[in-house]
Amino acid sequence: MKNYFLSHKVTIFLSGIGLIVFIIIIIILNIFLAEPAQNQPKLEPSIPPEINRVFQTQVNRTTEDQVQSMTGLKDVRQITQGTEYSFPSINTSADNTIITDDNLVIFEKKFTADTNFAHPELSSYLSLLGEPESIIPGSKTYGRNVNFYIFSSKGITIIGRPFSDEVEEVQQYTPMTVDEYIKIWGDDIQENAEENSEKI
Amino acid sequence: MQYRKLLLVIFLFLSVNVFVFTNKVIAQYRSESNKVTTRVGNPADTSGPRPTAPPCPNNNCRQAVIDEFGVTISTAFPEEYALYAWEKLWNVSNTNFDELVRGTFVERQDSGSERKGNTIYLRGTYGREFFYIIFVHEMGHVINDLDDPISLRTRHNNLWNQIGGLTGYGKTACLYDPPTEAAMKEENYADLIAYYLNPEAPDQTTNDCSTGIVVFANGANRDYFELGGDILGAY
Repeated sequence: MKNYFLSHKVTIFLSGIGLIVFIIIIIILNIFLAEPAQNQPKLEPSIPPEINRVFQTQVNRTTEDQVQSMTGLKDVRQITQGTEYSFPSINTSADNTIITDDNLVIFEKKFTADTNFAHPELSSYLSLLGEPESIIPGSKTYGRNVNFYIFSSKGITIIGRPFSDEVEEVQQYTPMTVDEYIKIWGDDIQENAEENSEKI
Repeated sequence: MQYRKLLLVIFLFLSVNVFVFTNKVIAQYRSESNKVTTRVGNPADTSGPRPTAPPCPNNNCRQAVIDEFGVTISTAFPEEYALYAWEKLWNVSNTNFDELVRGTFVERQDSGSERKGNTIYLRGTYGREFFYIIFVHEMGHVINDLDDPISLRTRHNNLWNQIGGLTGYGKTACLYDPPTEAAMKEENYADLIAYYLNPEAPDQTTNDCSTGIVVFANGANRDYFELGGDILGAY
């Protein structure tokens, strides 16, 4: 055994050096590749303060602990996107909900009417936000006569009723593309809303 | 003695005049401080005999409906449809209905009735009684999309969530593919308006799923009836 080590000492020495260099490379890669990803700031919605005050949380800032301590919590359930916390609104079809993932809020939706059923003006909200990136008609919750005004790069969607100039619901989320919004948060969009208007 | 009697008569005469004058002043003050909009029929929120339509002025019902109610009936309809609209709008003019639908256009579409924006589309093939129901039903969709504190849309939807639909169509939205819950609520709201203002008519909005039941007979569906009253006033 001893003779073996003596006869291969150069090989063993070089292998040891190679192993140490390999470990150093791994450590360097971890420092330069993994760490920047951890420090990358998560995008936050860009919402005018007049609208932002409707919400109870700040996306990618408010923690799950803070959500859990909010009053009126009605229900908690696991969904594909994370953990959904429900709070009652005056519309029994539309709970206010907050969704968290990785200990942070990633989505919030809020029914906007006050206790007298008065809603904010849709035209005021739209003038604050500018041109929507997409307008999609029809909601499973609010019916065929509302539109989704999607400002996904700003992380906000307004569900509004143009006929009466009322906002029914506001949603905030991590900024993304319109397609991503529809895929991730567009579950309430009612497909074929326009075809369904051909009814008594 | 004669002089005293004369003074007493003059005093009584003046007292009566002062009393009458004071009452007139008070009445005038009250009427000025509580001005109401002049309306056709009885004021809203007062029950009483339902108004009956007078003959259309100048025998022109289409123009009369525009002038009196601000509702435009398309010339694609025969004149008798303008008469039906005149009759029904007069008949419900003791409620808020005519004011809530002012500015609506009624177009003919024989492929099916529907509502888009402030225009309702009706078949031109209905008889008088069924026209009353569908005309008011489609107008109900217009009211549903008014401001929530006026339409009481959210309150209606909460009631639907709590006790279910009022009519067959309001329970099933059977003409929809797929029949969504939102559609059921929208159709239920329109049917609530339709049968609140046609309370003797059986549920008949669509042959596919209407029940034939008189929904408010014998005090049935009290919660919906009260909601109809809160939206429209007493009928």
